[in-house]
Amino acid sequence: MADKILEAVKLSKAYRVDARRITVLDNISLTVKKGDFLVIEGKSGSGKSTLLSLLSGLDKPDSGRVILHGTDITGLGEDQLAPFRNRTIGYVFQSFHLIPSLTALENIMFPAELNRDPDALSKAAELLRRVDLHQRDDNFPHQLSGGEKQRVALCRALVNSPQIVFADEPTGNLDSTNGEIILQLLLKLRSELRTTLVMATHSREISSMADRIVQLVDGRIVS
Amino acid sequence: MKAHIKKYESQKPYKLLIFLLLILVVTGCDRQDKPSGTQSQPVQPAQVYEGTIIAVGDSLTAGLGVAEEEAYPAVLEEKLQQSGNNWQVINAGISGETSSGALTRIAWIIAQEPDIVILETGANDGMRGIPIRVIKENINQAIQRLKEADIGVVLAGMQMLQNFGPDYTKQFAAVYPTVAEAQQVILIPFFLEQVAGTPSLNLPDFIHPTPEGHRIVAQTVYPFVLQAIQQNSR
Amino acid sequence: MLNLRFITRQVRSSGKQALILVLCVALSLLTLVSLAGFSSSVRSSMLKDARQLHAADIIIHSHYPLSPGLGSSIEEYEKQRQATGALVHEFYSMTTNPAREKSILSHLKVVEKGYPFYGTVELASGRKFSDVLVKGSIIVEQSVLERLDAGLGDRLQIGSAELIIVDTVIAEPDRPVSFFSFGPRIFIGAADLEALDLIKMGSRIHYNYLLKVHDPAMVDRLAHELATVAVVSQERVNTFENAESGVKRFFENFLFFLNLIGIFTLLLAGIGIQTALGALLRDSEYTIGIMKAVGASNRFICSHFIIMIMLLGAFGTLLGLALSFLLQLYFPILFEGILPASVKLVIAWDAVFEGLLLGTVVVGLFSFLPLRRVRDLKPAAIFRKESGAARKGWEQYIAIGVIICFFTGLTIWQLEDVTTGIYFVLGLVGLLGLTALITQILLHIMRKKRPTGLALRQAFRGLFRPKNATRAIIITLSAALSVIFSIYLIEQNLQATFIQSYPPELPNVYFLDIQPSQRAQFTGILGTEPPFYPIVRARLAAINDKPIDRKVERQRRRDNLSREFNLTYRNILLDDEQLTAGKSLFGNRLKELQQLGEVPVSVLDTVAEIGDIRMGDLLIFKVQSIPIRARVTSMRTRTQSQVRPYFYFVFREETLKAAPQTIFSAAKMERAELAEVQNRLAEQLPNISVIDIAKTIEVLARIMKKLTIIVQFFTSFSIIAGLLIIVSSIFATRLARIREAVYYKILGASSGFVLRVFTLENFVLALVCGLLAGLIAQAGSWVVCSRVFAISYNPRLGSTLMMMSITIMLVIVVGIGASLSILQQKPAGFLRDGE
Repeated sequence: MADKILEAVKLSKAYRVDARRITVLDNISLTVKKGDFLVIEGKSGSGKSTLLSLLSGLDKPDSGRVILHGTDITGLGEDQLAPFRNRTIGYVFQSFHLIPSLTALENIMFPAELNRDPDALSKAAELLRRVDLHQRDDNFPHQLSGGEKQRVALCRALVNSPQIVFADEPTGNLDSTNGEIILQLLLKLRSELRTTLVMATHSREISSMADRIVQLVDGRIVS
Repeated sequence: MKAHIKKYESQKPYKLLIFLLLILVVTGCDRQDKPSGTQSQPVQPAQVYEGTIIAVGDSLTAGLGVAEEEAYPAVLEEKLQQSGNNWQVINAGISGETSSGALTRIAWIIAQEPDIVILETGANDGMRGIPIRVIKENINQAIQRLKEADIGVVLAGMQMLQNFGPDYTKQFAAVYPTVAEAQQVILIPFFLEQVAGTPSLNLPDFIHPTPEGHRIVAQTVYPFVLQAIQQNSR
Repeated sequence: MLNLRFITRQVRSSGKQALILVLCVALSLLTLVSLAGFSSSVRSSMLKDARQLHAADIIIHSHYPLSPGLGSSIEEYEKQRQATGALVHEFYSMTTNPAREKSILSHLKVVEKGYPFYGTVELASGRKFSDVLVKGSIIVEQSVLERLDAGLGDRLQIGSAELIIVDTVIAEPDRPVSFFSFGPRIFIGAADLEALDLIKMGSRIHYNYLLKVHDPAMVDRLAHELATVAVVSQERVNTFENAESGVKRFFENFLFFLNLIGIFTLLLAGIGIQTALGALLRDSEYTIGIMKAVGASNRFICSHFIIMIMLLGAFGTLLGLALSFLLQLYFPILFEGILPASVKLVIAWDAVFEGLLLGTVVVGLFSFLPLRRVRDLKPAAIFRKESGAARKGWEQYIAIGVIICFFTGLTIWQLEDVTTGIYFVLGLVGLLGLTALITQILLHIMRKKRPTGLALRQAFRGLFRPKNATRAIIITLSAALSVIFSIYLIEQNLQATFIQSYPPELPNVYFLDIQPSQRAQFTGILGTEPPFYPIVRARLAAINDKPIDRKVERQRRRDNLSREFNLTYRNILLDDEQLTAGKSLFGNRLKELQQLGEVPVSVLDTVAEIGDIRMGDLLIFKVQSIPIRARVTSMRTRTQSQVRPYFYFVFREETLKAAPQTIFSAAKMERAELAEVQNRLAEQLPNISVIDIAKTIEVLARIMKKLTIIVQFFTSFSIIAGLLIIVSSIFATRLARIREAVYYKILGASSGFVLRVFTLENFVLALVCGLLAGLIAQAGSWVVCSRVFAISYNPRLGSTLMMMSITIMLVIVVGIGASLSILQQKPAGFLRDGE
C-alpha cells in the first residue's frame, strides 16, 4: 500500500481536568489514502478535535501510534516534529488562530519563511490574490471579518504545499455564505495541489462531498 | 515571642554608659568582672576554727580577674593552716570600694564578730583623686571602731600610682604609717610590695595582680597576720 | 529579515507588557546604581566619622612603652613613608593652682605633633591646635579653670613642671573613646613630657600610639602585620573600624543596614523583572502555540524571545542609567538641607558596571524558567485549557538552584561575611517556602468556599480560573511586599534605638560613691531630689539549694550567674518596668516567708532567662558571706519607654537597708551649674566622684542624628523604588488577567458589575498578600533586629496594619487601573475576534 499517507493505530487519549480523568478517544484505528478527502463526523464533544490534534501531531496520544507520510510521529520529539509539521502539514482551525501581532500577508508568509522559502512573499501574495484578499494584505487579524480571517488561515495552511491538510470545523464559526465560500476554496485549492484533506465536521452537507467518512461517537469509531 | 529578652543585652550607647558605670562603681576600673571562687555551698559543714580573720578590702582583696580561691585571702588561709594555725580567713573584698564605702560597712563587719580584720582600702580613692584628708579620716575612723569592738587590726599600707604627681603620692603613702602609729595597729608597709609595677605579676590592666601576684601578696601579709594572731591569743 | 520584523511586531502587540518590563528594569537599575552611589558616599562619610572618633587609622594601646618589635616595625613603616605616627600618653594626675592652693584630679593627654590625624581639636580662641600647643603651655577644659579658680595666662603645677594655660578646649574628636573620666582634660605638648617627671616605675600610663596610614587600602594589612609582632595581652592593635567605642556597634549596624537595603533592593528588582517577564511571556503563549502549530521550532521561538527580552532589557538598562545620571544632576537641589552635606550622590562607575551585569544576569536568570515553559508548551494548548501542572524536570531544579546560588553569592558579597550571608539566604528561602505553603493552604480553603453573592463568587472563580497564575502572583507579591514591610519595620526599630538612646533629658553627669548617710546633704547641694540607686554587692550562691556551678557559668558568652551582682532595694515599680508575674513586687505572704526565714525578691526577666529562675524559686545570695534566702515573688520586664539604670534583683528596703552599700545618682545639668555643684561637693562631700559625660554625649548625639537622617532617607528611597517596581508588576499580572473580563461584557454584564468583580478579586488577592507579607516581615525583622543588630524589637502593629491597608488600596487601584481600558470599550470589538 504505497499510496497510504496516514495511518492511526489504536489511539487512546484521556484528559485530566482537575482530579477527574476523562477518556476522549478510545482505541481508534484508521488509514487515509493519498489524495483522499476524509471527513471525521461526530457531535460536539465526540472527540473530533482531539483526534485531529493527535493525527496532525499537535498533541500526543496516551497510547497508539500515528504514521504520517511514512514517519511514525508519535515517537518524535517536539523539536523534530516542528519542521516536519511545517513542511508536511497544513492546518485550518474553526477559530482561525491567526497570530494577532502579524498582518494578513505576514501570517501567510510565516510558515514559508520558517521553511526558508525565498519565494515566501510571492507565494503568499499569490495565495492572497487567489482568495481575493490581496487588498487587505496590510490588515491585522482584528481588522478582518471571520470569513476573511478563515481565508487568510486557508492560505497559511497551503503556503508550503503540504502533503496533507487538517481542517477542524473550518466553517463552524462562519455564516452559511462565508462557509460555502471557504469550503469551495478549500476543495478547489486541494484538487489543484493534489493535497490530502482530513476534516472534522458535523455538517452532513460537507460529509456528502467526502471520499470517506469516519463516524465518531463518544470517542469510538462506529462505522 | 522572645523579643523582650534581647533588649537588655542590647547595648545602646546610653545603656552601655550605664552598664559601664555600674561596673565601674563597683570594680574600680575594669569592666570585665570575671567570675571567681567556688564558695558555692550555701551551707558548709560547720568547722571549728581557732579564730576568724576578715579580709576587708577592694578588688585587690576580692581578687578581680582571678578565681576567688586564687585571691590572697584564700592563699593566706592555706598558709596559716599549713603552719598549724587553724584560722579561717573570710574574703570580704568589694571591687571598686573606696575608703568611704569601707567605713560605711564597718558596722556590718563588726557584727560578724571577727577576731582580726585585715583592712586594705584607699586605692580606689587615690585613683579618683579623692582628697588625702578624706582617706585618712575614713581609715582612722574605721580602725577606731574596730578597736572599740575589740577586734585586732592589720592595716595594709598602700601607695598611689606615681603619675598622680609627687605631692599627692607622698601624702597618700604617708596616710597609712601615720594612722597605724596613731592607732597603734599592725601595719603592712606596702601591701603590693614586689608586685606593683611588675608586668609579669599583673593583669594587662596594670593594676590587678595575677594568681602569682596574689601568692606574693599573701607572703607579704603572712608575718603581720601571725603577729596579730599572737597578739590575739595573749 | 524575519527576525527583526517578528520581534518588532511582537513588541508592538504586547506593548504594555513590554513597556512595563522596560520600566521594571530601568527602575531596578536606577535604584541599584543610586543606592550604590549613596552607599559609597555615606560609607566614606561614616568612615570619616569613625576615623575622627579615634583620630587615627591604627591605634596601638598599651600600659607600657612600645615593645622593641612593634617599635621597629612602626619605624620601618615611617621610613617607607607608608604611615605617620604620633604617640599620645594619657594618664591621670593631680593639677594644682599654686596661686590659690587648689588641686583637682585631671586627665592629661600628652600629644606628639600630628595629633589628631583626623578631626580637629576645637579651641575657644578659634586658633589651630598645633599652633597653640607650644612648649611650656597647656590647653585645658573650661571646668579646670572653674574648679581651680584660674584664668588664661595662669600657671598650673603638674608633676614637676609649671605650665601656662594658653587656651580652652571646646571639642576633642576622640573624646568618646575615653569618655569615662574622673577628671577634666588637659592637653600638654610632648616636649614638656620629661619636665613633668611623671612617667616612672609605678606609674600607670596609657600609651596610645596613633598611626595615620597614607594609603587607606593598606590599613588592615598594616594593622594585621603590627598585631603579629605586638606582645600578646599587653599591646592591643586596633583599626579605627574595629576599635571599641561607644558608637562602634552603631556604625556596624548602620553599614549592615545599608547592605541589607542593597540586597532587598536587588530582591525587589529580581521579583519585579521576573513578574513582568512572566506576564509578557504568558501573554504571548497563544501566539507561541500557533507558531508551533505551523511548524516553528523551539529554537526559533526561544531565540527570538531571548533577543526580544535582551533588547527590552538593554533598553531598560540604558533608561535606568540615564535616569540615575539625571538624579545625580538634580540630587543636590532636590535634597539640599535634608541630608548632611558630606553625603552626595555619585555615579560610582563600578556600581554602573555592577548594575549592568546584574541587570543582564537577573533578566537572563529569570527569563530561563518562563522560556522553559514556552519550550514545553504543546501546540494543542491553544485549543484546550488543560490544568495539568507544568513538568518539573531536573532543568527546573537546576535553574532554581542557580538562582539561589546567584543570590547567595551576591548576598555574601554584599555582607562580606560568608556565614551571615548563608544564614540570610537560608532564612529567605525558608520564608519563601513558608509563603508558598501558606498560600497553598489558603487557596485550598478558598477553593472550597462558595460565596453567595454573584460578584464575590465570580471574583473567587476568577482567582482559580485555569492559567490564571494566582499562586505565582501571591507568592511573588507577598515576597516583594515582605521585603518592603521588613525594610520599614527594621528602620523603625533602628530609629527607635537611635533616637531613644539620646533623649534630650538624658543625664549628662553621674555621681558615684554617695554614702547612705550623705543622701540628704547631697540632695541639698544639688538643689533637687535626684534619683538614688542604692547598690549592694552580692554573689548568687544557689538556686533552690542547687549551688551555682561556676565552671559552667564561666562558659556563658554574655552575662553569667557567677559574677558579683548589684542588688538594690525599693518598694516601688519604676516607670519603665512592668510586672510579668506576681500581683505586686513582693507579694502578700510576707509573714509566711518571715517565719521560714526568707525574704521576697523581684527578678528581672533577663536574668531569669539566664538562670532559668521561676516564680517561687528560692535564691540564696551571699552578701559579704552572709546568706540571704530570697523567694521570687515577682518577675519584671522593662518597657524601655524611659532610659534608666536597671537592676536584676530588687529587694524590700527593710531587707537590705542595713547591708553595706553605696549609692549612685545621675542628673542633667548645665555646665555652669555643674561647676558650682562640683565645687560645693569638693568642699562638703569630697568622697563623691563626679563623671561629666556631657562632651561625649554631644559628640555621640551629633553622629546619631546624622545617621538617623541618612537611615530615613535610604529607607524612603528604597521603599518608593520598591513600590514603583511592585506597582508595575501588579499592573503586568493584572493586565494578563483582564482579557477574561471581555466574556462578562459579551454576556451582557454592566461595567459596574465587572468593576465590582475586579475590585473584589483584587481585594482578596491583596488581603492574602498583605497578611502573608505582614507575617513574614514580622518574623524576618525580628530575626534581623534581635539576632543581627542585637537591638530590641517592637512589632509596631499599628505600622504593620497601615502598610497592609496601603497594600490593599494599592493593589485595587492598580488592578482596576489596568482593566480600565477594557471596561471602557464596547464588547463588539472583542466579539469580532471570536476568541
